[in-house]
Amino acid sequence: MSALLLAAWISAPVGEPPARIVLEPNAGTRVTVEDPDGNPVAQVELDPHEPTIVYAPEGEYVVRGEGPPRTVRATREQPTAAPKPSPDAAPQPSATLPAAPPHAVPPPRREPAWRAPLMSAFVPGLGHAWAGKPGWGVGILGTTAAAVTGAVVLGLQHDRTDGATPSDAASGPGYARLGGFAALTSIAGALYVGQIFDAHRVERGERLEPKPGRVQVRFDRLTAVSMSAGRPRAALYDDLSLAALVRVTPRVQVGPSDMSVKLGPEQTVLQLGARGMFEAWGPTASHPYRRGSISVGGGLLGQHTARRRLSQPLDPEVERAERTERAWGAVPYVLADARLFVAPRWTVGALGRFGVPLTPRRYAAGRALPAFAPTVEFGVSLGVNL
Amino acid sequence: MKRLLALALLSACTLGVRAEGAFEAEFELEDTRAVVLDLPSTPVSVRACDGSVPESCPNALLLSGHWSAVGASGAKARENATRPAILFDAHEGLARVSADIPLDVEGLVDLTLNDAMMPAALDLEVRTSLGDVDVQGIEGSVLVDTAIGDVSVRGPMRSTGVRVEEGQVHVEGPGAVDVWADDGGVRIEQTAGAAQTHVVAPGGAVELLLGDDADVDLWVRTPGRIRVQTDAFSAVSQGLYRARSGTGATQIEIDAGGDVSVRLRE
Repeated sequence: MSALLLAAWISAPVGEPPARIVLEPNAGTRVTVEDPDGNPVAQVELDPHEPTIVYAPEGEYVVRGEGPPRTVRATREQPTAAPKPSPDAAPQPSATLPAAPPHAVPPPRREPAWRAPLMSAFVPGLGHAWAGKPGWGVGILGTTAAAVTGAVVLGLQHDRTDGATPSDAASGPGYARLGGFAALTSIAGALYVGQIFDAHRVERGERLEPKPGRVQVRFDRLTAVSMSAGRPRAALYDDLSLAALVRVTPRVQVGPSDMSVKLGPEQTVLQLGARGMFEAWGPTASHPYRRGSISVGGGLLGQHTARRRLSQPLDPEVERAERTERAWGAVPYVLADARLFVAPRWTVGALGRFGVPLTPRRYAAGRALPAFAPTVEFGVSLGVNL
Repeated sequence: MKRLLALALLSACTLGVRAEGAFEAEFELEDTRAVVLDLPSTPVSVRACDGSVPESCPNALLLSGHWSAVGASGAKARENATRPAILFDAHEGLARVSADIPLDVEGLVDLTLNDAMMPAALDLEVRTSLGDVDVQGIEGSVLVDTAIGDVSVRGPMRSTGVRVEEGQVHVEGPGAVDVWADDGGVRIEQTAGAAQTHVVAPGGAVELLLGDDADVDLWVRTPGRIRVQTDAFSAVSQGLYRARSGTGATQIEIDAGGDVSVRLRE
């Protein structure tokens, strides 16, 4: 079959015959099949002589190519004998669904692939090795082990008594240790999650077909190592948050972000923000198989802090009083995000963020960064496209 | 400035400035029997003075220290350092010192209590979270409760109680001693005869220097080594050790996770 077939295979249940769209022969014509939401499902260069089949879930689709867009329907009709179109016949793009020709491409098998990801969940890289990629398996295991070992070593160097005694000791080693710890834990986490998803793909033996989706739900970890007023002088400022970004155009996502709750001594910080991202590079209708994306954007992070204070008068006859103090905070920021598809809908990413808090910015465990102090954070992210 | 900005971009950090604001405070201790220092994370150093010499030892609590603060600029950091306050209240013989940190500088300031001076005859209680505690010369009872930090209490105190999660404990005095040190060693020197002693140190070794071994009821338990060397007792043991001299009126109990050494103070 000479047609270039980039079959869309989304979520047909295993065992059922998949729904199909049959595109009539049309020499040299390249068409894009889109779902009702406008998401590209497949891009196909039509064969001049034979019908081209696109597998997709049942429903209506729009075919865009030469001429006006037309609506077609993917159905589960069983193939029946149909006359092979004459090579001499004039190309007639059609929205009808003739029966599949006898030589239609069989749908790819979609058996459950759970062994490799399960193995990789227990031993990073094992699933790849079992699925026939031992080199990848060894590489993943070695890298994960190195990152975890490094993080553990740096973590064990943490001395809880550090700072109990006033000291003028240089804080450089503290910065280096905390920065290394943050970087290694982020790398280990992203690698661990990513390789489980990738083991699923490797076991199935499929080419990964990114699906950007309409909504991206993501878990971000952004970290800064910075000065502390207290002792020790360097501290880790970790921001773990959730975001749900809606794709309003093929390249633009906006939505709520930076959602988290940070608990500290006697205080609770509720964090919520809004973020907009522009995808400068990534899977498109013309490049549907790009496995990565690069986005830039910005947002505003808001915080509400409530601190409970309980007065404890020495005079037992004076009643104890509890009051709650509140404070609001805001941090505008710009963000760069490089993501890698590890499954059709799942991505891991590396983030960099620059922000200038307009008020003190609060973190868990009562930590805070001062207002108007420019802050650079790096981190990782796990996202799913819905 | 360009280098600083480049460094920040490369190392994921914050551009800010640290500053310190010193303070001194004096609180009257009229009709006060006990002083409580209830402070956030800070090292604490308390010196007692002879209250019978008012010229050099006023009936007051003298404090000196500084607040460290961070800010986006030096001026802002210095301003932040002035925001917290040291509070004092008293009621029926009990005086308390605490700190008030406004919410807008919470997490941006840190207290260091360099020195505290008070009349020796009063009782003292110190509560903090992170910081070494050093108490000298108190004649009354001393109580120290801290999470992390070494604790040293020396003087003619009537009794001493220490509770610390992580840190070394050193008590030197004549009175009864009650120590709970979760992770750290304990050293107790009895300076005048034997005194009731109760030590729980599941994560450390214990060294006890007895002032006297007459009329002592000694009970030691540890998975480590027990070494007892006094005039009345002599043993090298392990696990559980119990011995009694005279009437056994003075009870000494040591429950440790490390080695235990008991000997006479020279």
